[in-house]
Amino acid sequence: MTKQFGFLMDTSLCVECQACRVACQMQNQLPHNRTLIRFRFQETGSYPAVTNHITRITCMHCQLAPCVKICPTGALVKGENTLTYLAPERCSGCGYCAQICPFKVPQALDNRSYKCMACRELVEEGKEPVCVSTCIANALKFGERAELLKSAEKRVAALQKTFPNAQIYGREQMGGLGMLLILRDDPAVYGLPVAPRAAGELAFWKDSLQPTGFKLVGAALLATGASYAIASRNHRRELSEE
Amino acid sequence: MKFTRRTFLKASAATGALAATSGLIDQKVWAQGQQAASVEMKPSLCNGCSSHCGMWVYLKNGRLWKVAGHTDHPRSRGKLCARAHGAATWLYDPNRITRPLKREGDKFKPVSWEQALDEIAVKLKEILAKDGPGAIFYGHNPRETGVFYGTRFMHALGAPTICTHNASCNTTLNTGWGATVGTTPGSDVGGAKYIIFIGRNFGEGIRTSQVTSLTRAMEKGTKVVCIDPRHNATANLASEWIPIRPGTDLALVLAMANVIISEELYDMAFVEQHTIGFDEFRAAVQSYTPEWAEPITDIPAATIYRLARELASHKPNCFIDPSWKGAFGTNYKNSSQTCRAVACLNALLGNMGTPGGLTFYEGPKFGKLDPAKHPEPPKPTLPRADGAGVKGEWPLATSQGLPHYLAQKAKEGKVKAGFIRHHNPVRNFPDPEHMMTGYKGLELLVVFETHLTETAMAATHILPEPSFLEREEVVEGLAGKKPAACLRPQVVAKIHPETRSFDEIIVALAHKLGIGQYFQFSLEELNRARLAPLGITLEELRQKGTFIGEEVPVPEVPEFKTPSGKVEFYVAKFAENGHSPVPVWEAPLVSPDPGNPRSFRLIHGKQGYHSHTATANIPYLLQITKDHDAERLWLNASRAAALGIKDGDLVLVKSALASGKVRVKVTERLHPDAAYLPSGYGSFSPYLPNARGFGLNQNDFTPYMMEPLNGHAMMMEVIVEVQKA
Repeated sequence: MTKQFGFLMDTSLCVECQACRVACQMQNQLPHNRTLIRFRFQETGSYPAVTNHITRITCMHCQLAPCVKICPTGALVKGENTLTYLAPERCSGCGYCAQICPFKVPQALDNRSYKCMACRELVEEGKEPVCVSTCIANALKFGERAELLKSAEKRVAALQKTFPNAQIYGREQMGGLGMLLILRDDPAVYGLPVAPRAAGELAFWKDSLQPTGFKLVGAALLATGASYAIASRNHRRELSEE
Repeated sequence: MKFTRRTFLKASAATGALAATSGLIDQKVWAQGQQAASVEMKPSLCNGCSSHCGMWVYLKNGRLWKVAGHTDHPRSRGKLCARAHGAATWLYDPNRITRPLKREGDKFKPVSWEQALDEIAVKLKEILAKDGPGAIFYGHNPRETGVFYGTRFMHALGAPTICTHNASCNTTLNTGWGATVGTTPGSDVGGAKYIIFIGRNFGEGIRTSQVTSLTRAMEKGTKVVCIDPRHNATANLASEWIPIRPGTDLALVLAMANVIISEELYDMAFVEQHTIGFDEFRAAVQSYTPEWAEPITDIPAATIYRLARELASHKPNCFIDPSWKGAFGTNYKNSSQTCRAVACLNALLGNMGTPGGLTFYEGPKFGKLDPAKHPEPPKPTLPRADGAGVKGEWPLATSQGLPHYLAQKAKEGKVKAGFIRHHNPVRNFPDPEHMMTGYKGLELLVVFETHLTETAMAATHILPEPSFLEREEVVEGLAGKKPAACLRPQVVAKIHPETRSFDEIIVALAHKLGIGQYFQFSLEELNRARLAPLGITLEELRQKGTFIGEEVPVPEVPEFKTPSGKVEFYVAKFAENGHSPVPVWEAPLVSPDPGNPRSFRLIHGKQGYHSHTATANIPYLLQITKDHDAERLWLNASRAAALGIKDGDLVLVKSALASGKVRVKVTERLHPDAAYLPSGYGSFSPYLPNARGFGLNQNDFTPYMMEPLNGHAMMMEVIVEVQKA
């Protein structure tokens, strides 16, 4: 029986120190201008009653991950723990994942995709991903998703005393996100879609064309066979009429 | 600790074959490298700021891979901030100094070690003969290796003037806390029920484990109040942000003391038994009502009453944080007295040494070199060149000294030679022209550095040190319930063979200067002597990096190292030197012109991913700034609107001293009187190519000044005009 693992980011505890970003770059040996963790900031209210809303723009580890479905090379795969892994050496840089992602997270650059690799080797050794282990503010947690949800519920209840709209994001979206967020306000404030969907024309390809592809090929073969039969019958008829 | 790395990807055998045939993807080469890698872990102490957090350095095939927090180290507790991850890359930084350099005009010429050291020795002997040891100084960011070798070297020369960066940081704390309770205490964040930060910003002036403790405490329900003109990263998670007019924190603290005393909310038993001068303090604050403070601070009187009552109701498990530079560091004319008032207000809460109050821990008791074999040089008796502690000059300045006044003394020809290590006063004190002219005018200025900073540009000689991962240093101690001993061992072989560590250079110089008798021991012998009483060998510490000692019992009430042995509300030496012996209101030196919509007070502060300008040249950290446009000047939204300034607009910032252009962040998160500039930018050394000319630096706009009480640099006493460029 596999267990769902995931991240929990308590955005109300983040001090925007960027330790996670640089630790991740080092772990994955990325150059300084390539990052798998970006941030978005949004102020609400007016002086002096103001809140600064922080969220990471980072792989949300969708349970129903359109990127995994569409990836033509198998570079994006689901681990047994339901995290979305990326093997850059398998990636052709086609950018389909970047186009289809409902959260606009992957970046197709340098002939590869850049997105969270979920620190696969650490996680499979039972360790935390580096963004979590370095988080100086306890804003990031990693573990069984069900446990994370429980602790998030407690925290949200406490936050709601001050922030009535405080909520968990990712409980249901895309079949449930592996990156759960504790928000102090509505998702829209954070630039997060309430009902995320796989994006654009590619979604059509993934949802309708790709699954039925084999049937179509079969149908095409049948049609070819049928037309051959009709053509030869007609040919024979023509011959006999001569 | 050594182990062979597991295969990078379980599926990689198959994928490797696939990738090899496609031949398109260079990540293939990368992934294969991963599989073959052997990984080693070695302990070190970070150099991204002066906290020296304990870290593990991961080497892959002998090259730096990554760093991670050391779980035993009291300052990192397993976590590291962005600066630590970024600062490790200094190791391979192409902008490092790799050979001794000598300045000729404005050019630097590589010279041999022999030539550099000979020239330095000859010149120094000449100056010593002509002007005496009073005309030379040593300046640094004081950490163990520099403190030990620098101090011993100066003392051997008979030179008393040893300065630190603190007159541009927090020397006011030594003055204010020192006079009141004998030392700057720590705070028990984890045990507190109620915390007030006045200007202190854990989230951006990071000491890693403090942030961890704070957020843990907050999850448990500790109330945290942030008082700051700016809604900083700590205010972001705090229970409450109370903006204050910059420079008026003293009025707030005096008014809170007024409420706590007049409503008899203070700890009477503590005040009775452990303090002196309470009657004078009570009399002094009698007129400072919240109603009086409201128009000064821009905080409603009702809020001040509430804060005072809430704070007192949690005594003694609460505190106003002792702080660092924010609010009552070296910022305003009234900062020393603000610190005094904060110390006195804490004393009213009886929180000295209580759980959730202020802490007074000691460091480990290190051993010493055998004095028979290695006699210490006598402590110099000459007056200091910077006038610190000298009658008629700056009697109340701390022994941290006055580097900006030294620049003045150099201009006057009274100081002739300087040694500076890991410290950049030319960029990090106000008025770079004043600093540069003074330091560049010295007959001899030796700078020990890894990078060619603005201060190094003024040097006659630059001596290159290896980066912190390439050198062993002096064992350092950390105060705590369980005092710790920490070591920065050499993690990798020197990258640049011509670099030498500070201790090596000082010993070589000492021999050339005829004071070699004080340096007849190796760094290793010194470290063994220091560790001898602690029950850990140097070999073990090289493996572990951090050693936590036994818990040291502390007295219920700390021993206050003040003249009376008690908490001093009344400080006699202040009165003797013409300053108020009890904290009283004093306005800041300058204020924005209320009739001029372009007039702002220029304030500054740290960002969590930079240590002032020291890290601005690191590509990984500078890229964070670039990705977030984080070098922008903050302006309050209503003030910006009145000037027609929109978010992202370029503006001209002008003071009597300088003008410069920068883009604006229009925000609701700032007091209307303030224009806020992050403090990490505006490098001007051409040898720091990534950082040079990027962003503005507050010190360009601020004149050279000295605060009347202890001579600090008053870095936020500057008014600027802002207009659309």
